[in-house]
Amino acid sequence: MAITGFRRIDMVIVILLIIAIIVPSVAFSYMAGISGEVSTIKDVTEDLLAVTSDLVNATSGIAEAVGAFETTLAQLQSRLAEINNTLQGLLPKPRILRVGFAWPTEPDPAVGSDYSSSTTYVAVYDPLVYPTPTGEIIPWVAESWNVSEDGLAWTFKIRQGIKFHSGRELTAEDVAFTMQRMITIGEGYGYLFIPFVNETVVLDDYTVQFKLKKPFGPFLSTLVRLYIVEKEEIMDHIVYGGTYNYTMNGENVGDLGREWLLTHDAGSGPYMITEVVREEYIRMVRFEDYWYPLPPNVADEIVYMALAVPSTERTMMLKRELEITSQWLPEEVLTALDAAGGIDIATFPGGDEFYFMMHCNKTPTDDIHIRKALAYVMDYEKVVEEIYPASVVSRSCVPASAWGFVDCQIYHRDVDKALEELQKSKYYPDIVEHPENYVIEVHWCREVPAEEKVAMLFAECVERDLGLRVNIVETPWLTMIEEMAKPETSPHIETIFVALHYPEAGSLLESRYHSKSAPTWEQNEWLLNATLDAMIEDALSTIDQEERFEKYAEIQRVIMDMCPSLFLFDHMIEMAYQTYVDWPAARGEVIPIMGYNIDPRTIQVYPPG
Amino acid sequence: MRMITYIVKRSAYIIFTLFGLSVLVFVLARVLPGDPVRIMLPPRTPPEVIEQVRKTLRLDKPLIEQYFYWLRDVFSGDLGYSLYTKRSVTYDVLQYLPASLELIALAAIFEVVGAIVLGVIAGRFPYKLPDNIVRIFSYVGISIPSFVWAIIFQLLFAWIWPIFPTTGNIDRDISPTTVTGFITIDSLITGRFDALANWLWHAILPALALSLGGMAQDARIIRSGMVENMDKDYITMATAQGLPERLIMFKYLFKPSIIPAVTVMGMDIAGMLGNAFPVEIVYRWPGLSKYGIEVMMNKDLNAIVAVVLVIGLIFAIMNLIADVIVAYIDPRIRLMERGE
Repeated sequence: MAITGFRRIDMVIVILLIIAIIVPSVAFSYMAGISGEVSTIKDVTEDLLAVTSDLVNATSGIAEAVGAFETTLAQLQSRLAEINNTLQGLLPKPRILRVGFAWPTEPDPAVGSDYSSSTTYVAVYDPLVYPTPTGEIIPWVAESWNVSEDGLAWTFKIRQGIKFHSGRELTAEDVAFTMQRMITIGEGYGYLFIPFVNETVVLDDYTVQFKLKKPFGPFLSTLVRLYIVEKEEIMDHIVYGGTYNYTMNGENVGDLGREWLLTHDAGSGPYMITEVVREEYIRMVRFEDYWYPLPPNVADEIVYMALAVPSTERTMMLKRELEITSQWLPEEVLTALDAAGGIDIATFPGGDEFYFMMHCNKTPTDDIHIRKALAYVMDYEKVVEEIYPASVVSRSCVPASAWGFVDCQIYHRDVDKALEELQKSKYYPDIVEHPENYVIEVHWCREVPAEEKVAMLFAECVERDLGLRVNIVETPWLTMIEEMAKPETSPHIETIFVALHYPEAGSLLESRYHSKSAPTWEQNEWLLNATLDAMIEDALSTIDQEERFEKYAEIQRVIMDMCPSLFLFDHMIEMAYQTYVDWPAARGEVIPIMGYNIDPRTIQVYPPG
Repeated sequence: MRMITYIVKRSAYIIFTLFGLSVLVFVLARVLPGDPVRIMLPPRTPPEVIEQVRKTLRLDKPLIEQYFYWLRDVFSGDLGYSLYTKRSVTYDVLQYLPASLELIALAAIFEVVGAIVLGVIAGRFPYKLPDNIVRIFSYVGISIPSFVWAIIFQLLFAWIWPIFPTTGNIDRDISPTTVTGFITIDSLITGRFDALANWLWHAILPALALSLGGMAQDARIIRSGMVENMDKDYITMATAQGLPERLIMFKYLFKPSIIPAVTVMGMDIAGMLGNAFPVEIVYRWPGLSKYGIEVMMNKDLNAIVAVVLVIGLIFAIMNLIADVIVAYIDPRIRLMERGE
């Protein structure tokens, strides 16, 4: 049955009507629900607001309470700070020893040999044997030793119970390794051992033997420079494939710990390196397990720092930021510091002598009479009175602080004698009639300005009293080294300080006058005297000390008679120090070996309150 | 775009300049008197050890070969081995350069600000009391070298009135954690403003000592430029047109007057890296200038070349920056660059 007349449009209308009824009803009921929920939300919100309000009130109370607590806390903190300050005042102040040096410092004992490095080794390492102010070598790491009849085998008994900073015990193996490492690297003080040590043998845990190539009398004295390093620590820090690749006992041992030791230590000394800022300073703290009993007031901390400007050192001393100055302060700064309260000046022999080295193979100083004329005309007293006031006129060709020194000075200012010597010369009278043909060249080191004054005084004496001609030339140190390498480039006179390498006279006799030293900066004389060489070698190979020192004395007399140099003065080091520092060297207990006069084992610090 | 081309072109010149400089310094350092190995080692070192060290450092090779090895190493970031510090020169440069750059940056701020303030005051009141005071300051500032200022400041403000520290660039117990090597930047990165303040406290005296000479000179240049430009027609016209004095001063008078000073300032600041050594030595400032002098005194071959190259590079960069600033300030230079 068909419903007639019911069209599609009607259908649409019906649907629309249904929608019109259903949608609003659904919407209404939905809105009614929401409204209810809104109402609920509103109620809840109101409740929440009420709670929040209560909370705010409560928080405000808490804030007040916190404020009050903070005030109390601040008061407490302030009180605590006061108590802390009072306690700090009562507690002992940290003992710091700060010393100025010319830089650089090499913390590796197989690399450095300058003043600051040597001083650092004394603090951080233990030497095999130790020097004393009275000129003896006493047991240190080695508690005893003996030498074979032929002087070729030196056997050392190692002290038990010495601990390295790592905590491990020092044994003969470490001593042998140290010697081998020094020889393999060859730098620093290695030159003391390379010509002599043939073999190092570990006999047992606490016995080591050095076998020498030839007898060397001062061998024991040189061992004050054998600073014992810990083998295991170094072997753990070897770098392979870098700049240095060493071979030791046929084995590749890389850089032998060189890179690591730039900023660390491997020692057993009373102080441990904690910080190294190359070019700036080295900081060390006390090693609590040190085997040797130290005085009660030695420093807790040490800083060795690079200082190059006198005014900076002066300000630091006055502000108590430095305990001991470097050794190169000008006289006026030292005088000013001496005048300031609480600062004194320590003066002690530096173990070096200042020479005018005369070329013995160059006209006219090749003539001994010319050399003697120059030696007698020089005004030595004026040098030490006016130019180097703390120093003393030399009494030999080695400084008086050297063991085996003998007083044999024969030259002093005597113009008559100088003229007499001049007239004996093979160049006389031509040298006086035509002095322009015999101009004596004096090269002084630009880096040490006071040397110019000495050179000028010399020129004044020579020109005025002898009528000769002198030409003074300011020469950079590097040029000096270069020109002294060959006889033809060496001038008539070089003015140089030379120091002992080890505390015996033999050290300087060899380095200054033996032919093998001729091409180095330590000898401008070009003496090249085979007899003298033999005498020096004989003395150095003498094991008996008394006999050796007698030979040293004889050599000194021979050299003085040959007059190869002007022996001007023994250099005295002057250093300002705070009076709250008890420093043995300042009291006259001087060890004539570079580095040992600033031994923190013996320096006590009493910081001012 | 023209400016970028200009900068690129100038940068290329810098590379060629540095190459030439490297050849020159490399050769010069090696032909100067003194055997570096003998200097490094004690006088009685056995000849075989000396030879061994020479071989290790390739100093036994011909000069050209040495240069080739050096150049090859440089391209791999290795500036060679330092005979003086016994470690890599690259490490040394990286350690000392930041301290110098920081000091120079502060000195540059002092120099620029001081010179502008003093120059403008003097230029604003020519031949009157402020100008005379600035003139005296300039003469004193130019004639007294920086190291004398350094000592005077140290004695006055570190000893007599102990307001500032005597030496160093920061207290040891306050140093920030090292990130870049620059104390200032590291302080900011790690939020250690106490370290920054401590550094500033240490840096003020050396920076002031370093900047005074340049400041005095630049103040005179700015002052002269302002006095000279004051009589120019365009200033008269601007004044006649009733433009505010401040506008005339800073837009029409100061801007053209500072152009010659900018070039000089650029040179001064660039030169500070090479000239800072006396100040760094007096204040024990751990910088590259001090290091440079020490390595030169000890004939440390690789370090000498590296320091000279770094100084040369910074000098060239500073010059480039000064030129760019001048081009920015002076429209005539910009137009010249465009060929108009």
